[in-house]
Amino acid sequence: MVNRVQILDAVNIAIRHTNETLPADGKIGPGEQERILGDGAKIDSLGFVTLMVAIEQEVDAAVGKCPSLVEELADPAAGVTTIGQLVDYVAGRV
Amino acid sequence: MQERSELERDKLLIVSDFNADILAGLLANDTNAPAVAASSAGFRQVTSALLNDDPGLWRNKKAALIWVRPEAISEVFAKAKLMQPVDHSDALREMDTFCDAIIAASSRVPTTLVATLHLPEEERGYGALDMQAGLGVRSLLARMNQRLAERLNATKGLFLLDATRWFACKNAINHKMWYLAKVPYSNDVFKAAIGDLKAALRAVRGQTRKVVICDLDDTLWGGIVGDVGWENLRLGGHDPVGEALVDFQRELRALTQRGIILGIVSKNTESVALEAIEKHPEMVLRQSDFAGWRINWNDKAQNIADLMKELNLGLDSAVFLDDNPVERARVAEALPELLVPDLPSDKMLYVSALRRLDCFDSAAVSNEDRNRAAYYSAERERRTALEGADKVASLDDWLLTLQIKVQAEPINDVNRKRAGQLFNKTNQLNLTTRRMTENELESWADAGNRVLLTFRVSDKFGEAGLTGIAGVELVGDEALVTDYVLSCRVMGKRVEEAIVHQLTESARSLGAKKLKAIYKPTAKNQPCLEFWRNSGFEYDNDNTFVWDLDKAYPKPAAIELIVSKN
Repeated sequence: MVNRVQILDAVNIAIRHTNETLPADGKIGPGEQERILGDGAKIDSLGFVTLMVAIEQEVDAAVGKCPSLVEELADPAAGVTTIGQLVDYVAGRV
Repeated sequence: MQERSELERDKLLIVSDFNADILAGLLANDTNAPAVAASSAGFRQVTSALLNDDPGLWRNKKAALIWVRPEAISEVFAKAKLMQPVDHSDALREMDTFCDAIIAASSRVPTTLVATLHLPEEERGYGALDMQAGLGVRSLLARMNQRLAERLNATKGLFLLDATRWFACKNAINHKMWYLAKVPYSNDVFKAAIGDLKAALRAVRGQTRKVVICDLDDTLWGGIVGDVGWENLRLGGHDPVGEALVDFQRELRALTQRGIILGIVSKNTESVALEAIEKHPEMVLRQSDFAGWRINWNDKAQNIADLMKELNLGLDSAVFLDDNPVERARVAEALPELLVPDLPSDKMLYVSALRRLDCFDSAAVSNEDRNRAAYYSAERERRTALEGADKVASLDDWLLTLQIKVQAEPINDVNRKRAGQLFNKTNQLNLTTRRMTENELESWADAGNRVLLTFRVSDKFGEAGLTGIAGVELVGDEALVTDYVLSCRVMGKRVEEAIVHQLTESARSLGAKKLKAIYKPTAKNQPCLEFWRNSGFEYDNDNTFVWDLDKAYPKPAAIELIVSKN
């Protein structure tokens, strides 16, 4: 069974990769409360896509599979706006 | 590294057929020099962006990077990729149009960098037939790149970067990012490109490492020579490590062909180490290949500082190679300007580590570069001659024995590259430390109220090559020394005074009554201030030096000065 910690580790690696491409005042902060969608999110649409694709790659490398996050999270019904929610979402889908 | 403001960064314009925002973001966060702020000209409309002379797009840009996928600039190539029959020569005509646009764009920025065209490795084209002339996709791509090189190589300030190496990483192509955001490549590809781009920008600025200082034991050869004797060192022979170390020495010698000089700093008994260098049959590098050495039991950091002082070069122009991580850490901490790369613990990987260093890239390779090691070797002989010349009464007497010739000539097609290189690399004996590309320098010198001269120096030991540049500009009835640049290779031989003598002659020919030199301090040009303070010019507390041109400035007796008009 997939461990939530494994997903969180993969997400954090993806955040590090994404932050390399973001300006100093637009980097994704540490912590599961950091918002990535909706009001209060620092990243723009390109930053969001970059992060999602990076997470897909890292989660796939860690556990062997990952849903297509960009498409699924575009649906408000997914209910994901923070890193913590994203980790829970991925953990529930793999 | 301290965060740099936008104003301190070099402005780079990216012209691409893909979304370059990720590349621009990675560039902004890259901590290697120079700091770069990149903006995109928008993507897809490459040729129109190149031909767009809107000043808003190009203003204040130090450089442009042009990076496109081949199908974006060649319809013929796009059809060839889809296996449609095409005439390859039509693609070359499209390349000519593309090259014309690049050349037009290159006139708007000092430096233009163009990535070679690349096809992802996964594209197999016609398989075994893909390099067949007139058919294969890769065959066509090779011809297009060849045309690119032929057309662009002659353009000043324009450099073609080989993109192939950027794709030598896992998952180079990012299909998902392409469909989602029109970003075709992975971050690793972009990072490799940034490495080459910054190396090129440093090369254009003359920020090139010029010296490699090597340890000996377990670095140039295997084993401790003081323990095992030179006969038992691991070097060459039927020994994989010995063979690898011979190749490592060959690679170091190859660097000397690019103008890099070699030195030794090693904890050893000098006579024992030098005997090994001269007597071991498999040594590639001999004493004559080294510009100098410090072989003793003293602290290596101090030895390196002493050696660089002897070579009249700054620590920021040197690289230190040592197998011992403790010694590397000590030297790196003591001399932060020095580059101390990690060497792998496996000696068979030394060559690869050396080849991967991008600090030796230069904007041009001149004859002076190829002969630099010989110049320094000759300089070592001069020092030896001076130390042994007990009958020589004074420096001037010794200089007379050297038969020094200084040849002055304007900047021209033959010396332009070397002049640009010297102008941008020289730090210590540099009055104003202006930085200009060779194109800008040549254009500047064209004005009628200016004289810009290059100086070649030789003596009985050999040619030092083009080692000086100096310029004056008439302002009212005074001439201002705009540039006074001299390579450290010829410092201290009265060449300095010979150049000043020529500057006074040039200023007089422009109609000036006085010659004025204003010293602009930098972190490195204190030696220049010391020279001017002893030059005989009157000076004030602002370090403005003045010579009344009613008086002749004496030419040093030991120097023969030859002035050419062209």
